[in-house]
Amino acid sequence: MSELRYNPLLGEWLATATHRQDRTFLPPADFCPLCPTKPGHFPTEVPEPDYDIVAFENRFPSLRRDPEDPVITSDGIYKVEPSIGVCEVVLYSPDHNTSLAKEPVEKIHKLVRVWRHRFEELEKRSFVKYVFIFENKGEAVGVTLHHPHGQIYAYPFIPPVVARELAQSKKYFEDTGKCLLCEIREKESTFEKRIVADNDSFAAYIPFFARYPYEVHVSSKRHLQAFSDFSKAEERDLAAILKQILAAFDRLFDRSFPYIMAIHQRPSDGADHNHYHFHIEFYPPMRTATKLKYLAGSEAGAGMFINDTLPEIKAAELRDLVEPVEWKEN
Amino acid sequence: MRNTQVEIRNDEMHHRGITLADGRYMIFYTFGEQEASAEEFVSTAEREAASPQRTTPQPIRSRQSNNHV
Repeated sequence: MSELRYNPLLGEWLATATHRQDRTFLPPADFCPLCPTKPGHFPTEVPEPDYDIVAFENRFPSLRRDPEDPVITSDGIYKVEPSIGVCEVVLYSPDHNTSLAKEPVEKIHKLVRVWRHRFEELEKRSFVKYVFIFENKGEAVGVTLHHPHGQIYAYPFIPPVVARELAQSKKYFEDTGKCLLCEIREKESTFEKRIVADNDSFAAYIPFFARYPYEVHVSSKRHLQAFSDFSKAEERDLAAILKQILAAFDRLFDRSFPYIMAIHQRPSDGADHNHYHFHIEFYPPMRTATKLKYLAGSEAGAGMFINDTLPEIKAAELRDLVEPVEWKEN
Repeated sequence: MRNTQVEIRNDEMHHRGITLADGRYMIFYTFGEQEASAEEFVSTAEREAASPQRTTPQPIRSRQSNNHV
């Protein structure tokens, strides 16, 4: 059972999804529901063994194409809506033990193209206002299945974090005639000390205003709003810089590095969002090899993050671990 | 840090959809050369998947699973 409830205090929607309480939680590798079904073994979610990447609807979705009626009716300021939307899972590989960081750049390039296709397909649906592509990696950020995968939520509204970025970007554009994220990227490129990696089409940096010690942002150099604006060269350059960042993350503490990866694109509501700008944000929870950054009183209760580190120093740490990307010809 | 790149050939993306027994869609992506027969099948499954109002699912495989995310 799921439904959308409106929080009048914050002016934002949340989803209840009680059926998700029963979803599979950290099963042993032999019983991974995201591995391809093997002959003679239990049927998993994926019936075919041979593929590059698979996308499918989540069995325990927060949003559905055909949602049930809410269990409660709207009452004044307490608005309730059916939880219409789409929740997809994107499997990066049939191999249970790999990760995006371990995959070759060619595979990440394939994933970029799948992301583009899923974005373009999902935004065709009339009820979809925002397509959010993301990955939760590692138990530290709440992952319940270790098989390498990301997710896509197609929301019936613009989610609040993106809405705030849109509002800030619009105001900056109205005040200056410039794109805020272009300005940020150019400022980081000029300053250099917070740059982690760079290529012809993208820059990766820990921004001046980072909330997490290793909060890398990847921003396009051209003023793009979504995957659908990418050239073929930009698809490859995004794959290359992602490979560099993800591999550097794993080298940092010599372990598979947990993170949340959030891809921010323009909404799919048909409005003009030319003031907005494609970028990817990583929120890694680790602040040292043994310590996590928790969202405590100030962060969770007041919304003010306290970063125990300086972005200039953390960017230098990561930058020293970035290696060139080598493409193999197909 | 600059990248070295080579032109990638034979990297055309193909996708092929199926509908699971419970009506959910699943889309397989492969890259490179492929047999011609899959395309028509895909578009049918994706039309089904793209419909906001789910029509009667046409299960291609009947299965139960213990997923998940």
